[in-house]
Amino acid sequence: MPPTTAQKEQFTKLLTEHEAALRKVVLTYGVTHADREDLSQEILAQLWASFGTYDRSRPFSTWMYRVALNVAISHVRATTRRRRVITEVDTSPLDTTDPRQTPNSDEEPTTLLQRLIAALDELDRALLLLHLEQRSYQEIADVMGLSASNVGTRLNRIRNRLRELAATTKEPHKESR
Amino acid sequence: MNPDHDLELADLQAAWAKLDTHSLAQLPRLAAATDALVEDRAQTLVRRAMVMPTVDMIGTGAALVGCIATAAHTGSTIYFVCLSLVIACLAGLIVASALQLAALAHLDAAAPILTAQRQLARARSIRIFEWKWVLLLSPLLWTPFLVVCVEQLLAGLRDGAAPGIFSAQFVVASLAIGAAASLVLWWISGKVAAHFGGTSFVHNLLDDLAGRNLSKARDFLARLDRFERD
Repeated sequence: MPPTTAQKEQFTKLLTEHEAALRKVVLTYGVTHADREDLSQEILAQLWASFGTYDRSRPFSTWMYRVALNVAISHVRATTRRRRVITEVDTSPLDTTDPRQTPNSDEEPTTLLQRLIAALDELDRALLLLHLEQRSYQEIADVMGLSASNVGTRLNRIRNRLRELAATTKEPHKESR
Repeated sequence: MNPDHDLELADLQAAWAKLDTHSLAQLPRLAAATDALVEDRAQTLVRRAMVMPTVDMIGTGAALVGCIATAAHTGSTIYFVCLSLVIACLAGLIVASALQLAALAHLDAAAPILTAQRQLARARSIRIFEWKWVLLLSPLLWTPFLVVCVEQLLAGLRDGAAPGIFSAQFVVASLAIGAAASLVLWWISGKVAAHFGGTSFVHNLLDDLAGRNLSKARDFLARLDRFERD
């Protein structure tokens, strides 16, 4: 059944409200500029394709994160297979710099953050992203399909892993200045 | 966030908030994007997942039609039995592909991540498993195909020359050679694939044959289980 104008308007309105969150998903999982363009297109397409199943009585953000993260994780896995890139130990920073933009002093913490996120696997990345977006444990659990207590345990492990990674990336980080 | 300090998630949250201000991921303009989506042109998670099972089903269907047509023309019992086995295998593969497609068609992209990813990973494992055995057993299929094709060719050229110009011994020997070829193929895939670089299609086929792709798909399934359980 073709979508109605009202549906399209509602979809566009909801997307506009949550655009920043979607950008974060794309930024977390996309590697290059072109890759991010593809990923954002895929996420939007799937959101629209699944919009008919969205239960209006439930929060849009939970539904949106589920769709966006499912697409992003599948995209990363497919891209990794195509490129034969081993991501498990890849701690190289993500290509987040727009060549048109001049560097500024605020770049450093975000670069380190992205370096750390890139070192995590796809599932831990999703968990961390939701936590950084200040979602409650219950909402994270709903998105991931875990229990709330499991979310707490896993986030604790991620924090320990990030501490280790931050310690190991500290030296190259200083050298690059 | 200072890497010299003990790292806390709160530190990351501060950097995360800043990230938004110079987030450079360009989402297409929403209006333009939804227009394109309404026209149904864009790739989706489900469509992407359905591509390979669809290709498998079309390929297997074509092979099935070929086999049935060939079996209908053979006058030899042994070839007919061989082809019947092949037809049964191909029919099984078509059913398996159809079941996969049906499962993927009902995939809910808005399901919890572990549920949806598990479903996708299972479908991928089954497909790779099928491909591995199709590739490994394909040398065996050439014998009945070749024999019947040659028979039909000769029958067309000279009345009464076919069927049954090949002895049973020839067929058995050909099948034995096919089995040996399968083993060699499997051995080579294990040894050679590691030396292929880049994104070659051949590399992927060799990885399917050697079982590396299947291991990776199963590893991901195991990882999903651990993620849920731990």
